[in-house]
Amino acid sequence: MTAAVEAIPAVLPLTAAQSGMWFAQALDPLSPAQNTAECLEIDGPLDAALFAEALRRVTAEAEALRVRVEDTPDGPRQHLADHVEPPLTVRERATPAEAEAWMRADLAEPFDLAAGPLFRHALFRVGTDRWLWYQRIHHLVMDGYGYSLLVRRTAEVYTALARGEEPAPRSFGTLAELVEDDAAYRSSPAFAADRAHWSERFGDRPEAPRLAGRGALPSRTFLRRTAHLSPETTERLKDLAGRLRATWPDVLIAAQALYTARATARTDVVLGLPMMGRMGSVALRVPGMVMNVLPLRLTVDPGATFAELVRQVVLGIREVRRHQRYRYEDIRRDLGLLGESRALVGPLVNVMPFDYGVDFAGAPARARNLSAGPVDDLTVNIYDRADGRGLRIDHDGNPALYEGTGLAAHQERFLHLVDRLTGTDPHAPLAVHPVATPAERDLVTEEFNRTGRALPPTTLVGPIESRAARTPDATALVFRDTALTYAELNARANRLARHLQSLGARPGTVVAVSVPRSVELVVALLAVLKAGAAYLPLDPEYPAQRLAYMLGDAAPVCAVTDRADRLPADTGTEVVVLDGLDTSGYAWTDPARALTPAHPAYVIYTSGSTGRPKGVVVPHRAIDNRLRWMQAEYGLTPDDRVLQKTPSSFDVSVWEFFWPLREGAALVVAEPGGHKDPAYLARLIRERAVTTCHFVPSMLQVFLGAPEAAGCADVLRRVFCSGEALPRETAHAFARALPDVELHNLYGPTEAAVDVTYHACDPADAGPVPIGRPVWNTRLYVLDAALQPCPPGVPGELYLAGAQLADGYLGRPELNAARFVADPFGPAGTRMYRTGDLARWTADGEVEYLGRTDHQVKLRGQRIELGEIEAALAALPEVDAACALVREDRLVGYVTGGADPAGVRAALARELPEHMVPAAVVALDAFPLSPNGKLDRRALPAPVFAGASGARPFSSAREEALTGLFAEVLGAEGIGPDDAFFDLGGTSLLAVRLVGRVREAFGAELTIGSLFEAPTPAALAARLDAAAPASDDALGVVLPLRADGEGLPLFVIHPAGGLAWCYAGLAARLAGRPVYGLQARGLTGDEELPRTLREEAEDYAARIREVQPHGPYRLVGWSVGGVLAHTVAVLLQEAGERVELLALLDAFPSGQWRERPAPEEGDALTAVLRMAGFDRTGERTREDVLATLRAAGSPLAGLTDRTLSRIVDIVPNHARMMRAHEHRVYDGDVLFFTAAAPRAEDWLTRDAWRPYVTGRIDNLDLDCTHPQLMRDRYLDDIAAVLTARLKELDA
Amino acid sequence: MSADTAGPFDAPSDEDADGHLVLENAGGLRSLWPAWRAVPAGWTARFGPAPHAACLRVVEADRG
Repeated sequence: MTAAVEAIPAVLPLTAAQSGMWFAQALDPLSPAQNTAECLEIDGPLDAALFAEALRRVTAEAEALRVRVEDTPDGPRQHLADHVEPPLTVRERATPAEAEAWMRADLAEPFDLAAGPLFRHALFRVGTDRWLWYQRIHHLVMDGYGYSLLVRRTAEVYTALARGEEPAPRSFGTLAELVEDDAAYRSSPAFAADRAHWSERFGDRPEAPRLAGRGALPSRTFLRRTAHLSPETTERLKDLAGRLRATWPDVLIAAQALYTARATARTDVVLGLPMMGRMGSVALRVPGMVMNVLPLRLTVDPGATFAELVRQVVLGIREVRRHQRYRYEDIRRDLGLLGESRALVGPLVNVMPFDYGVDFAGAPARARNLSAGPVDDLTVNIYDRADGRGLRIDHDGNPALYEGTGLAAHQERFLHLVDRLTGTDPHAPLAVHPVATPAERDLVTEEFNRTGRALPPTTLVGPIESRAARTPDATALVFRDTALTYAELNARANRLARHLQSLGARPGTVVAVSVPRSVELVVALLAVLKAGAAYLPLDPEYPAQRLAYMLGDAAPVCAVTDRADRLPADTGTEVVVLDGLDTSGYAWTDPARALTPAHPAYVIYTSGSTGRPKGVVVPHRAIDNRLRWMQAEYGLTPDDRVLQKTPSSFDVSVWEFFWPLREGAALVVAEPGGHKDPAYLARLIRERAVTTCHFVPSMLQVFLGAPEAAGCADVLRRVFCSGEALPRETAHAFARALPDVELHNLYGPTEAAVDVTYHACDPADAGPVPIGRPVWNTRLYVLDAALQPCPPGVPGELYLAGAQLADGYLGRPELNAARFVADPFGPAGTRMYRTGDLARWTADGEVEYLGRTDHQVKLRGQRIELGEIEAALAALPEVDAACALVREDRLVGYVTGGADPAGVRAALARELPEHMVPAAVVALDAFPLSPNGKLDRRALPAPVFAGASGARPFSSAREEALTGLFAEVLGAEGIGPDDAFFDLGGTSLLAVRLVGRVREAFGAELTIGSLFEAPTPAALAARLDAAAPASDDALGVVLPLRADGEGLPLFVIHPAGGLAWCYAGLAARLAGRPVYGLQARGLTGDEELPRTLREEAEDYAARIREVQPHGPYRLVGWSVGGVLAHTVAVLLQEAGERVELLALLDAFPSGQWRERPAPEEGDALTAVLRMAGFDRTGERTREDVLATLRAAGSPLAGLTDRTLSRIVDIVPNHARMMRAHEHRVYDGDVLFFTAAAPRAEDWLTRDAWRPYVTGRIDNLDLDCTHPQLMRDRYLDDIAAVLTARLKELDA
Repeated sequence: MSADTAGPFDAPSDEDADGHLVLENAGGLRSLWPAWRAVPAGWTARFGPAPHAACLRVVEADRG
């Protein structure tokens, strides 16, 4: 300390460290999360008065305790007071419980940064000679190291005072020094070097490992769970650390890294390390806020040893230390993570080295941390208090992410793991350590998989033949006008089977079938099975090249087709053409064959990642198990009818074909191509009384959207979904449309005989729809990267084992060895199938599907290996390199080289099935690479899909208004609803402004934190909608399109439908001015509709006066809204107020309408469409209209049925009132906008206003129709004219 | 195990590492297997530890 300090500035800026805290508090001013607190247990007598004096003196010495922080236009400033009386509560008599309760309550109190003081003390006497000293300090002014300085000094001063001595002088460093030190660092070469280090180390922007699987904003509180590592384990831990030439914290950090890696299914993990941040700096003498959190990046490879991992930690921490002054927030900003609201680190491991070992005049004290500050995700605090109880470990969790049980499980597993690690050879591979506890391991591998069920050794076809013998006269199959009995079907199939046998079909061989959906298809498939062979379905729609490949690969003994030219000519396969084939010479009885359950039943090709499709060979045993389970679970009866609509090349068709035939039910066969037509399907289901059918979820969604779907409610009994994730909303929509029909979610790959899990959807359930439990004789494993079982809740790769596994891929031994692998948990020598699906167990034994581990995608239920598309692209001439991905549910190909994108697409269409041909192909000069040289898929440009316009339209008024606010705050133009605030140059300060503006405009409680989580107008709108459903506030009579701003408000009155949302675009163009919409009563409820326009206008005038009590008023109205605006203007003038602007947008007085017939409901639908800016074309019904709105992404499509039906009432009511209305005279000028495109109502003329307007009628013609007036192009012109007029009026 | 990290049966980033085995069961079925994980009961190591690609080549070469 030097003499120069005498001129202490009373006002200082914040250090970078403090700014972070300030900003965190500004996010949520009432949050106590920034409180840190500690409790010292003092064993011995204490003089409370002397203690208070000691606190007073220490407060006088420690500047940080005497500041308060004010926000100023130049940013936050800390004001340093000369004197602050320390707030101290003393309770001379308290039970420990009372003291704890008091502390807990106090900890929940936020500090007011601007008011201060930012700390408080309490002293409790909880025993004769036992005291608790509690202190709480705002994190902005103090960190853990600072606490240790304060506590030591307080003990020193107290001890001196107790002895009657004057304490030895002590000078802490000053805040000014900290601020200077900080500023000096930030302008030093070291700062630049540190920045370069971190940017390089994390340039590839790794995902933060999240134990909860997601992130969240920090909460106001945290959950804490405290445990102790036993003294023995602590001892072994320290011993192990010594042997590995590391410290025990290094070992625990390595253990946490191992746990985190396994629990998050990652090998690359980044932990957060709170660092003291004071190495070798003046800050060592300053109690204050200096600490930092820095990322420690580790690779946790299951093949590496624990000793190696500990070494990585030691070296990693050494590296972190060298760059520890660089702030965590700065690293995130440098990496662009701030804008994406992405974290960089997963769990924090906070080793608390500060064991004060202080005493108060001989009374020893032990510190206990109560709060270490906000918890973003999970923080593991570890304390070595040398009290003989072993290490204390606190797991602090963000309650937004963890529940008590979940947090406890993480802690219990961590303790188990540490215990294992300290008792195991550190040179063994990490893979020997499971993260599940032994109990959890038993639960997930055994309990959840108790599915054993002894079954007779039958085949797929045997039970069908017995059924045909038992019920020969029952209907087996219905197609168009044809119905076949079991006897007829059986006889036809038997004759064909005998023919196929004559051509060499027998068990162990393959027969291809390429027949469109028809009676003949069913007969052919059955015939192949009866002959004993496996059938190979070939979709007649597939390109010749692919068909030829499959024929060559599977080498069938023959191929059955409906007509001669179905298959490529030159494959050498013998073709059996059904058209004209006479099998009447063969016997009608079941043919003999030496078929066993081990023989293959069918071969189905799936997309292959290396560019070749692969044939999955499924044995009878597997599919027989599957169908026996299905019958036991769902009990098909002879009066059931099952819809066959899935193409035979997809394995769902297997149960559609054969389950009903085994159970005596009837098969209803859909038209070829009919599976894509929801209206046809609904008709077929109703007319043919189908009880059971299957939908891929995306198709189910489409089906439910068809008006005819509800008509199936009476006939359908159960619907099965599989093929892709079933969204909960779809399940809910299903329950609404088909209330008494069961919905079952099934899951399984072709490699495990169609489905291996099942879940019955309950309309009352929420959250993701599980794929469910294993079927009979099936085991599921969710395994981590070390092939160890994941405990419930922890994601891992899903493996399948048991009776339903396929034999493997035809002629692909290397693929078989890599996908069907040894099962370490099942019976000796058995296999498990690696699905590539990411999944997790729920606590009660169901599995949830989470995504893929590789580049396989599903589009509309069809499985596609992106690798196959990429291989096909790369094989084309003039394509150097290729990549494929799915964007917005569409497949996109990217190529480099000289190829023409359209040509590439066309070439692919000749080789690949339709669903595998990219919707767009983009040619690039080069692929974007991430810093580590890998293809950066995220940086690939979005393609322009044909027919799509550039920016998407706004999907709600709120979204549009928010976009306007973004533009305004950022001072930028051309912002779209999907642009992120921070990408557009948004800073923290601008964020504060934006949040303020949003609060004012929408009255919504929004924090800056929300902006980080929802950085785009669209996301923010969704968040606001979720907080307060649109129906509550966007349908009120007064709709504040922009509630604040400069100057007088503009009132815009709704058109015929009653909503004022259409003006959002106009409001967005009138930046900085308040704009209020007026909307019809009764949009939400059963309020009576007005009887006259005058009554309605009176209501609006009154509401306008609530917003603006006196004139001059500014009014705008489009269509009926113009007629209303004129009437409101007259009413306001008659009440003695001034109206200075009346703008009519293509609105014509009532007299022009009087002689014309009023519209009926049908025309109301036209009006609804017009409200959305459409002219009506082919829409006939209310549902048609809704479909158009939905397809166009109109916000009106999101209205509730109730509101829509109200609109259908409101429109004709306005038409009726219009015709009865008598205008009075408005005294002033009118600004008129004419939609000047030719129109049917050619009698309309603005001159009809003349009798009702005393002043001028200034007109602007716009080249559009009436409904188009609210489109961007025309709004630009309207807004320009309005703005000019408003400016004149302002002046 | 996320899309950009090698799983236990994928080729590791170090393609030359002797990271895998080829196992065989009594039925003659083959399985690729990570060398760091204990060999499951009923299976015997037939080849390796060797690089991933070498293991696959061995399996392919033995194609019936």
